[in-house]
Amino acid sequence: MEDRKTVEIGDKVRRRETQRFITGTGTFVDDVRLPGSLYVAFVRSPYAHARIQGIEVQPALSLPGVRAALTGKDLAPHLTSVRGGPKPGIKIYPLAIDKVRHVGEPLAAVVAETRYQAEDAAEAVIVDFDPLPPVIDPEKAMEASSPRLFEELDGNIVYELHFSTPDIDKVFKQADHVVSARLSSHRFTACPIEPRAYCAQFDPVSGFLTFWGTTAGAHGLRTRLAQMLGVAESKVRVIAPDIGGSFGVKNSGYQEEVVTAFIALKLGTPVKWAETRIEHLRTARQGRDQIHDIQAAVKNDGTIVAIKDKILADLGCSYGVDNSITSSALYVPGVYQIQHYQVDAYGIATNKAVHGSLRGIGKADASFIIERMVDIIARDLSMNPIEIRRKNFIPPEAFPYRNVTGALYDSGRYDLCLTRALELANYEKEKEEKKRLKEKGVYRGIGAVLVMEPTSSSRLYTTGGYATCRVRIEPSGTVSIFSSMGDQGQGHGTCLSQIVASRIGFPLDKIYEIRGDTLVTPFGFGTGSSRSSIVLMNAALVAANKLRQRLLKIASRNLRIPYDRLTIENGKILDRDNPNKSVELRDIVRMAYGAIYLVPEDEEPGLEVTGYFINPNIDYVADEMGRMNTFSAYPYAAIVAVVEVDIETGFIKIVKYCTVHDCGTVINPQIVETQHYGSVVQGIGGAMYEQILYDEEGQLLTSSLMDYKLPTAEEVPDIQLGHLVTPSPFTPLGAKGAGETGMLGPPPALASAIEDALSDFGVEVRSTPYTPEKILALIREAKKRGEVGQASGDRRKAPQTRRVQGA
Amino acid sequence: MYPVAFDYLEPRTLQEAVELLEKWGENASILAGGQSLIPLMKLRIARPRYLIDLNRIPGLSYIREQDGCVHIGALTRHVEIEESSVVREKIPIMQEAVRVLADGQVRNLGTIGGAIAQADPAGDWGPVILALNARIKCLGPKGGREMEAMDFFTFAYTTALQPDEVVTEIAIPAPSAPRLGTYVKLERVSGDFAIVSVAVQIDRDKDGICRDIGIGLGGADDRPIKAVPVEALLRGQKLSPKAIDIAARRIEEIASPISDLRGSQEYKKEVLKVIFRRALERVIERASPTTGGSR
Repeated sequence: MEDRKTVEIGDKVRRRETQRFITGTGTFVDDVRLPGSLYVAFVRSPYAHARIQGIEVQPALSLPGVRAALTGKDLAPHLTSVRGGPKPGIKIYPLAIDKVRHVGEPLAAVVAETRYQAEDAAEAVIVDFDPLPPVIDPEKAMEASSPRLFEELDGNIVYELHFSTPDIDKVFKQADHVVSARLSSHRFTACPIEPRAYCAQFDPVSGFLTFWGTTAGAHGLRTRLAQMLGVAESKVRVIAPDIGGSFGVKNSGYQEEVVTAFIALKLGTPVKWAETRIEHLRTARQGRDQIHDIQAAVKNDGTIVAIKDKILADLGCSYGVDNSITSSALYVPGVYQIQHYQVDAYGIATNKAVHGSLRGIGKADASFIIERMVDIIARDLSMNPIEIRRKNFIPPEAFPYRNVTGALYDSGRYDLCLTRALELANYEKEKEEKKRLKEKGVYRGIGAVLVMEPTSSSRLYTTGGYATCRVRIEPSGTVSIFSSMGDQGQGHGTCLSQIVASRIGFPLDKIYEIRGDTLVTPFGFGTGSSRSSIVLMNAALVAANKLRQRLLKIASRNLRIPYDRLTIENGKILDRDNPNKSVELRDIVRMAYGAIYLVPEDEEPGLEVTGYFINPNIDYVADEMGRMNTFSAYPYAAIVAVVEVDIETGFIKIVKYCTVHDCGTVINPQIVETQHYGSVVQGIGGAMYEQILYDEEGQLLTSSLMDYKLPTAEEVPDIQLGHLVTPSPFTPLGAKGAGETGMLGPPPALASAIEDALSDFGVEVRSTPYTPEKILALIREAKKRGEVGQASGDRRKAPQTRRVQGA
Repeated sequence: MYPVAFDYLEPRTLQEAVELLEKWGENASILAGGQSLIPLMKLRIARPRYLIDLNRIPGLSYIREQDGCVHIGALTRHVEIEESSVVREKIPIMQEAVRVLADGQVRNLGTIGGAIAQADPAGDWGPVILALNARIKCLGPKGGREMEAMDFFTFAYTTALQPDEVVTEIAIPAPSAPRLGTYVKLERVSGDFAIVSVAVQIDRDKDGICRDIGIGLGGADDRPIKAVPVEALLRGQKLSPKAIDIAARRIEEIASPISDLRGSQEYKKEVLKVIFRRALERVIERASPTTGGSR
């Protein structure tokens, strides 16, 4: 083998996927072109809430090129199982039958020879709707008089979570101060560059259904298709080729998947459906959208003793209830040593698109809420917001730390992380600069927060658990890594290859990753919750270690040198004590396949091994108090943001965005850094620009990118990134996941900075997003409050809803 | 994002284009740069039965100076205006505006004639040509005619063009003080249509008295508007902070913006006043001898 230095974990190895993507030579689902393929288009509800009285497909069938039309009623008898709704007994059909519950819900499909003909045909289908009053406001939806989305239920509350430590009311009574606030996050979505697309082919001779899909979890999709269509799982192959981003929205099951597969089965012809951006904005999963009424019991010295929170989570039409509520409800205590906690959370069904995974699902709400709350407490107690954080942080020596809700935090150095971020931002100098600019009439503010992101979730019968890698050194000397987990642009292939190379000494360019094809890859769960760094990468490490051991054992037998004296270097296995005694790796590979009598008896023949890794520390069921840990690692990031606010227009300019993050061991710095940049940008988009807006009738107002605004390069500041490495003690690699902490930062950090910039007026930022019009309105309100306050002789600039006792 | 079926027509002369328009009238749409029309067709909001493509007609793309006017052919791409030395020298406000007009891709294909005929109330060219008192030339079956920019925009996405007329040229009187113009735009993100925008072009004598002023407003009404009463208010005045303040309040009064996702009517009115004041301050700053008068 070539005389080459192999790579190590932590090396800045160039991301191998990049070239393919930036030169436009990736293969996405819509690039799959099958001979004779037909095209599917969906007839979708124009109403937020309506009863379907009848569907007439004949006008579509008479159009040129149209081959078939399918309604929910046509499809239902062929389905062997149907998705359950938010409560047992409620069935959600892939094509709505009786009722539609959000704009864009599919209720019929048409199939034509071209996509254009399919669109014309979808338009020609006549649907007789009986519109029902829409349920839009989650608070009104909870009232007894509200119309119901599901007649089977006695209201629109589809999920509840209640948790309390003992005697919480007593703790509040004894507190020096009680600080309360209403805080909320708004609804937005991920908007990956590639919308969804599905392509299906059925071979009647072999009975094999092949399905190409934009999915983060190919194996899960295979099971769903098999169960719903009554086909043996063994006869279903799902391929997830290159995926143009998911950020959570491609994790869930969607109606169009099974419909596309069914059409291919029924017609015996390949079919394809590729989503338009409008369809995507109407139907892809949307996230955030929570209201928190939160109270904190605080001591005079700033110690946060207890938190009470009430959460209203708008789950949209809630076809399936996601885990956003548990993730936010159980993590509001965040990075602070809060010993008393009560939460009452309600998931509410409304006539909006289904709520679901969006990078940082639930956890983003939790970190936003607690970080805002700490700032509010600091202000009410006239304390420094940085000092109050330091005072309440869980100290490094307390790890592993069991928080009040049962979560087991692996490791962390929060205080140090915040200090590093302040240093990176040159905080003291920034404060001077702020004062200097103030004299010139420039409103500049600095915000400092710390966000924490539970990663690698595992939940009973749903997600996570473990990941698997099968690694094979091929007879010719290349290496194949078969990964159980798909990739949606993160660069798993680079990291997996790097890990395997570091253990078996093969050069990187001989190592290939094979993923996203259920026929050849081991079973596994989809990527998401930043779990690949925790379970998948460790699975590869386990497999690579097994392979290394086998290579060494074969060499040991042939060199007649004890196994533990051998090492791999420069394509050779050699004796550490006597490097002249060596054997070429390629000869070991030849022996393993071709001369198996040279393989030790206790070793399996060949060079193919399977490694798996189980999420550590997971509680699949809660204890008697409701405490549980559903995540395996707890990365975090400190952020110092500097903004300037134009007080005449409300426009915000991010002058500086500095963040120090700790994702544990860094497997590949380039991938971690670029993940983090992208994540921060997405967080800025969500904090300032991106909004899913519905009107009172439940019509989507932001159904194209003309109205759904994504930040551009012009809006994105220079992001300064620092690393702090505190490995997880619970995994061999020590990596914690790097995909999401970036996104959690901007909402609380920018709010903090904006309030600081506008402290003269006493502006209070209580909800996302920070649009110019809202900021201007907040300034106006604060000014008005200030005037009222002055007139009544109140020293506090900003009297408002929350009450402060004691002091 | 798949348009309904249409017939694609490729006239080779303007005359031929007008004949096709006369024949198909409101069932036809003219394709210039396509940067608004094609997306609207893909959304099936625009559903023309016939698409008349002007791009095969020679001689519609030019920028030339003649008789104290800069003449810009209707099919001139935004990028050509951006790069034109004539525009840079004679009407620099246009270059300032074109740099914030959409993005590079749109500017490469989009045309000034198409943008004006599209008549988006928050488009960038509307306020600029209104401030500059441009004339729009068009051609119909009865021959050519000219309109003042002020008479051209009649409503949101609606112009004084007849269904069988096509814009051929925008003629812009070169301002006597080219540097004393500016375009200020508030946009949600870079490249978006304006929340509101202001184009101002002034001329003043050596005593600082405003000899002439043109003011165009974007996003301020259901169409791009020319702030005629405010122009009258400031003409012959010294542009003192007080005069600007009075004018800015008058701007707020005459504006009647549409509430939409870019902002409520109240917000747009308020910030329009702000950016109007800033625009005037900027041109005065440019005119001031202490700053050397350079941009």
